Amino acid sequence: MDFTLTEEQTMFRDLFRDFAEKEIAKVAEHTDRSEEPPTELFKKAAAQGFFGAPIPENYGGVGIDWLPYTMLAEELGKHCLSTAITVAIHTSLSAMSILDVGTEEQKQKYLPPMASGEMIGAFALTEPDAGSDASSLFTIAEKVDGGYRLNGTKSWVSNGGIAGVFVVFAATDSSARNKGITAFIVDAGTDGVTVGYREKTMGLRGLDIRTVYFDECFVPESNRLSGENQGWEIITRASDRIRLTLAAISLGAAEASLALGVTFAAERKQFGTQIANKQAIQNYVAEVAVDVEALRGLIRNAAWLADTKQDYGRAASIAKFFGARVAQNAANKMLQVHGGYGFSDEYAISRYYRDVRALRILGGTDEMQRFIVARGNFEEKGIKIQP
Amino acid sequence: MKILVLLKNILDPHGMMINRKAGKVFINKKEWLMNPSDARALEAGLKIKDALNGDAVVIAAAVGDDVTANLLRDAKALGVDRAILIPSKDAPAGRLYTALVNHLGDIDLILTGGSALDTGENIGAQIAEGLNFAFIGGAVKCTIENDVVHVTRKDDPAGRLYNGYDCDLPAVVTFSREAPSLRYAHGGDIIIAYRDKNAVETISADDLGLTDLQPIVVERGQSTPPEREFGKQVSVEEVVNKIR
Amino acid sequence: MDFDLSPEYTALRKMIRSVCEEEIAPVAHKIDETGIVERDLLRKLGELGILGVPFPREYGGMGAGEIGYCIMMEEMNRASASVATIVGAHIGIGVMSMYLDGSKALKAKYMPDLCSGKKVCAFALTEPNAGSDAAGIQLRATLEGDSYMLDGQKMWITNGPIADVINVLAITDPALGARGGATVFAVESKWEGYSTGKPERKMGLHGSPTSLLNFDNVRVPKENVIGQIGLGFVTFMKTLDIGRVSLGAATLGGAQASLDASVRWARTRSQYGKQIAHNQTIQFMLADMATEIESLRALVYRTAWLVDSGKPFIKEAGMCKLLGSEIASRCVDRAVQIHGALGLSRDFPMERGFRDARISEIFEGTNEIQRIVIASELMQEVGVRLRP
Repeated sequence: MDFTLTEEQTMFRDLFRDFAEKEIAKVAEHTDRSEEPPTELFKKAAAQGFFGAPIPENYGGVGIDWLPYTMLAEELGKHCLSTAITVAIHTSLSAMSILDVGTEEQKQKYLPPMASGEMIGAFALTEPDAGSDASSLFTIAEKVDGGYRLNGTKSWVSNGGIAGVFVVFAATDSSARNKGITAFIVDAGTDGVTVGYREKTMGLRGLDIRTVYFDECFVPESNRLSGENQGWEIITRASDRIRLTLAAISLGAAEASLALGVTFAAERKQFGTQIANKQAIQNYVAEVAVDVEALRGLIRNAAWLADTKQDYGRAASIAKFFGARVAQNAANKMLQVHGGYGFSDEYAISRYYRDVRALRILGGTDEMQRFIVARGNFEEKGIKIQP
Repeated sequence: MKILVLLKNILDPHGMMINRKAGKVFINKKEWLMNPSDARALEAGLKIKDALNGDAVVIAAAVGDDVTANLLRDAKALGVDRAILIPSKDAPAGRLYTALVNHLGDIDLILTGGSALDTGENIGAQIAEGLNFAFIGGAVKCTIENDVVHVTRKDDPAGRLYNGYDCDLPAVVTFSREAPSLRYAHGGDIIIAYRDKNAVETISADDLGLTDLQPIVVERGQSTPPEREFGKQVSVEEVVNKIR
Repeated sequence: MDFDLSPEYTALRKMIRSVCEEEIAPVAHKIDETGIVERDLLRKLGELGILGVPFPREYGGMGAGEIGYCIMMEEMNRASASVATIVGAHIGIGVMSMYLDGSKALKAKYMPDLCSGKKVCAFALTEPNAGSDAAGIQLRATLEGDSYMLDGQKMWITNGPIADVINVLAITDPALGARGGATVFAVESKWEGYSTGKPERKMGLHGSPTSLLNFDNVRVPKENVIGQIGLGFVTFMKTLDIGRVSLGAATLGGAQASLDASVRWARTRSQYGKQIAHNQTIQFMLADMATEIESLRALVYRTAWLVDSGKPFIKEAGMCKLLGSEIASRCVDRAVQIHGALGLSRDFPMERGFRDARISEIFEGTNEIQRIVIASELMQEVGVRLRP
């Protein structure tokens, strides 16, 4: 079992790291303060292929595997979580769903502009009454001549305000719950689509999260994604992808927090010496460093399973669950190392603290991940647990 | 100017839940409040005293038990000159208060809430009747000028019509919940009122010459109102026939 | 042995809760967004004695002692941590330092205005190079005739931008340093040479103004010395010790607010066809919150009772701050998790509670320092002296 990165993987990692350090780091603070998605940065990143990294070359992407893709997510997460999650939602949820089950026409139409970053993708699943329980959707897709008519409200749609395309989930058969959900590709600006209120959040302030209204929105048959009532499968596979991606982003955030804390402790002097010489500080640093390495192992393992076309859902869930908590703990402990400065907006650590809190909730809460993992354990015993 | 304010304790309605199936009211959290309109009456009394530059005596009275005594301490903390508790479990408060007024003597103005939130009782009207005092209800504002009581009340509940009414002393004025709410007491005054053993005086029914008072209202139980029946669609003919 | 709070405290709590619910809670969100607490609000609180709760009535206070003060801080932090921080710094360490060691004349001069809210007080200890290591302060006070000339800077001072009276620790004898050569002075903001920096931009407590203080040869009459010359460090440490009890009470309020909101949300929110209260995960989180809060409540009010009874309380005070800040952080974190995405939204109070709570583990002595203090008290009992 060889853990060394191949030459190609090393090259990708260095490319991502280089770009992130040069371009993302310098706009991260402004993005947070202004609460504006850094569109100029997105253009630069897209030019490097960051918005279509795993999309195959014949659709305009770079065609990288999961392992390098997690390294991209990690490097983005190190510097700006808003950017990282924008890319993650766009790629792992939106674009790759179309890649996964789209018709050739759909792939030809949507993937190239998405890979080039011209068209940002969003994923409209959550509703005000459908959060963790995504099986009962209240957005209805009524079959009409030539297509479907969508009516309903989607909330917490990341990238909602900057998206060119939405992958939307609606109920074609409400009584069948999750077996009656269908996916649709809806262009922004389609008649009947209104992008509404932008959520004001604790962190991820550069992420454009919206409520999106569908009012008698007509979607042609050709824009249905996969078969009727086949939506749940798409959701499951997309969830696996976003979980692994978020785990990698968490790793980046944790590493960044750790680096900030170590730097501060090495410089700050109290009681006649650098606080790095105090055991309490050393303990915080050590515990976070251990978590970071453990998380890295989980991500590598899950990425390897994905790259070898094995079932990686459980591994992704484990990595996401662990990663979100590691990221929060890292930011928290390293903020403590900063003392009073940790509470100041002038130091980056408080931004990480605010940004990472969402990781335990978005993309499937901690509680949801626990359920998925335990379900796997009990399935072996023939017991099917219910949420 | 001698003002008497009558107060009542009620259970906090937010701590209660009505269970239709069981046909009962469940008290989840037992907390006592000053009856809201009584609190408005107290505020009005204190405002009158302020307007007279303190040249008035405000007496707060309540019928009840130890818990009611706290209500009176709160009133004391707000600046009433005397706080009187008439211990009783279920004796008719109207009769006790009427006797109290006679016992105290020289009461010019009696202020209290329009109705108790829990029983719906209008004690003010009862007492005015018993004492043959002038009575004005539903006040949102009450001032005294040269021994004349000026009351503002909202005669049109839906609209904005306020009318002014005057009467001579002695009078009973009851307050609606739209009157200004009660001021906050200074924390130090609260501490003092609660630590002072003599903050609340006790005058018993016996002291008032009323022995062997029987309750005039007896609770027979609780029941929920009957289920609403749906109406039925009728034809024009049926309506006409009913009218005929 | 009576564990109940006497009835006057229950009545006091009721009054303060009403004031907080009606006057403070409705503007808490706006305070967080704009960063402004209206001076008018402070004046209103002052009129009810709330800005001088523990101090005797002869000085304009409420005369409710440490227990009353803890009750007030608990209730106020539930409504707005920013307002509670302004009030807590004003009373608990600001005026308190003057009350503990100030002369009768000094107290008579300043306390009535401070307790009534006409003036605001600040406690100035921290400097750019003296955080946890408070003994590293450098602000200098030089004797010149009948006054002292204060020169230097203080940093991270709560209420800095709005304080009228600042109780500041300065070095009067550099040879002895902070321990033995420092003195506390009551400085008026209107005196020449005193200025404040821009309010700090903080992650939370947006309504609680914090800033740098500049002392540029500020002339302070010697009547304004608090306590004894050279023993200022002792005064300030005493002040911080007692301040920790009420800080524990404030964190208790924050934790309680998190629990109350979470219980209500567990009833309101449904997923999978049932209220989320029916999920064991949620139930266990609520139970853990309630248990922690109960333990903190017992610790805080017992410690307050120790203070009011004149018994030793230093170790317990440190524990109040340590336990309180950590419990509050855990509770508010659970509350955010229970509320799901809404716990991240700035339209709801949980998110604000999460940001506001973070500083509790840091200011007024970081939790690391608290642990050192508690361990020191323990080892002292067996004859070992610990240094940080």
